[in-house]
Amino acid sequence: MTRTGPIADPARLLPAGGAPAELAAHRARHGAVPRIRDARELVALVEAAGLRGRGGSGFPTARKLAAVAAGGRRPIVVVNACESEPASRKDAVLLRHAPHLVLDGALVAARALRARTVVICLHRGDPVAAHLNAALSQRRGDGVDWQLAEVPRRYVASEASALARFLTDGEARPTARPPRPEQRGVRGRPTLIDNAETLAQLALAVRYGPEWYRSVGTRTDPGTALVTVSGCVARPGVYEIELGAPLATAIGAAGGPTVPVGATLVGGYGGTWVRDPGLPLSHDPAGREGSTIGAGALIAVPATACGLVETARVLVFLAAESAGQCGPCTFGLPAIADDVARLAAGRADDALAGRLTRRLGQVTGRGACAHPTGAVRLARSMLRVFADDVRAHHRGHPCPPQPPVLPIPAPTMLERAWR
Amino acid sequence: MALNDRVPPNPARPDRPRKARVPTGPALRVDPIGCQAHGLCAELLPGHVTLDEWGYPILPTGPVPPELLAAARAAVRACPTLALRIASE
Ligand SMILES: Cc1cc2nc3c(=O)[nH]c(=O)nc-3n(C[C@H](O)[C@H](O)[C@H](O)COP(=O)(O)O)c2cc1C
Ligand code: SF4
Ligand code: SF4
Repeated sequence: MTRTGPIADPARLLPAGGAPAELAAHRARHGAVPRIRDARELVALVEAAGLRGRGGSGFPTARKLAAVAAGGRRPIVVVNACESEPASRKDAVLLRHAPHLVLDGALVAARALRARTVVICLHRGDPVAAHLNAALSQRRGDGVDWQLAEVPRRYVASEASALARFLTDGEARPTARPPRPEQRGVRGRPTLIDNAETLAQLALAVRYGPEWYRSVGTRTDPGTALVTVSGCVARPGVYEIELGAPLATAIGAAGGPTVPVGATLVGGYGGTWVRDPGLPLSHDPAGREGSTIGAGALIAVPATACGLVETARVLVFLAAESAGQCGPCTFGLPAIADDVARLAAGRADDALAGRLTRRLGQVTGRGACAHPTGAVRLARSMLRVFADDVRAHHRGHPCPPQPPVLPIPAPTMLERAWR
Repeated sequence: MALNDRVPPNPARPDRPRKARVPTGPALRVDPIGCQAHGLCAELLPGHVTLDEWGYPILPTGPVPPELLAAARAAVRACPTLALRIASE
């Protein structure tokens, strides 16, 4: 393959010299949108590239494309740019600096699938909407109907089935599966819902070819990924890393730790606590906690902070963010959050440990969406990674109060409604 | 688990093409949104279906044992919210 691309530089989406935000500069760098004959050709290319979803699950994008193409009716393409993870900024940064790369990816998918409509979903009031509207105004000749949808600012409102439902009847809460959005999504049509970064990666994979795409990353998870590094690092922000790179590389890209790190929360609020700086970051589970990069949010927490207190704060948030539809999530998450908060405060009763373990087992996997499963993952990894602290708290020795580290959206930032 | 979820795959059950689970057969599934914790299913299938502390049914992941199939079908019919079904693997 003789095509040129930024091969030497692992940063592909956000190259060092700056990504071209204007359409003319974007075209000068990447050329015209590649012509793909049909869904089969696209599926084959994306499969050869080995692209996996960057919205968190790492699901093989080709398989989702194929499922949508098999649907019979004319599909709809949805760009998930809500980025509800409180510690994630990568989609916002990507849309600000390289909006046309995301739009190219969505367009390639829409054309191959014969979709006429592409809906870009953002949180309501997101300032990125203005940038996106400016970018879209330059793309009237694309031959698709570009639409922007503003979604309630709730953690689970950007879960795929919730988006499909929101775009159908205005209620941004998940639906039971089956059917999946790929089969029956927006207004009953087969719906491709992909994360904004996934589509930007798809645009590059199609433009420069699978071989180029695979030239960085791992065999089972090729390419690069955006990570949002925050917490006790010198330069918090969004960085692009090679998939499979160790956690230390991402922390290092952000200028390294400013104080000794106790543990890093990897993958967002449904993720895992990690102490090993050598943990390889990819969508394949690694390390003792089976950690994955998830949506790329990495928060380094100082050794002086209490991992139990931090986890409890997040669990209270996640419990409040339940869509209140499924019993184990509606009742189980507040119960788990309460147990962990008691433990964190050094007020554990004798029955707490057994009760919490039982509840974690009874809640995971029992929601219509993965929200409760994520909360359980976080709580379980806390119990193992901070096992010494858990024992001390159990004996009634909580940590001295410390300033909070993990960001929790203020209640005023969230909406109570789901419409 | 869901095709699309942000939660990383469980290492014990990686998100890869699964090997045929042994044994296979029709299994009970509950729609967690539809279920209103009426608990009839647990009453009709004691031992097979248990309830969590909030009254919601915990279903075994494996197939319904053949001797319980009739009771399982009765539970499906009895569920007041039509949340219960039998899915063939
Ligand atoms: C509670 C919850 C919240 C989610 N929020 C987002 C989000 O804000 N952005 C996103 O891209 N995916 C989010 N997802 C994942 C989506 O369900 C879906 O998997 C993703 O948009 C698919 O894109 P991908 O295949 O490109 O990763 C969320 C999932 C869950 C369970
Ligand atoms: S699992 Fe929780 S967040 Fe997901 S649909 Fe059910 S109640 Fe809503
Ligand atoms: S009978 Fe139906 S509503 Fe009642 S607990 Fe069982 S599944 Fe839920």
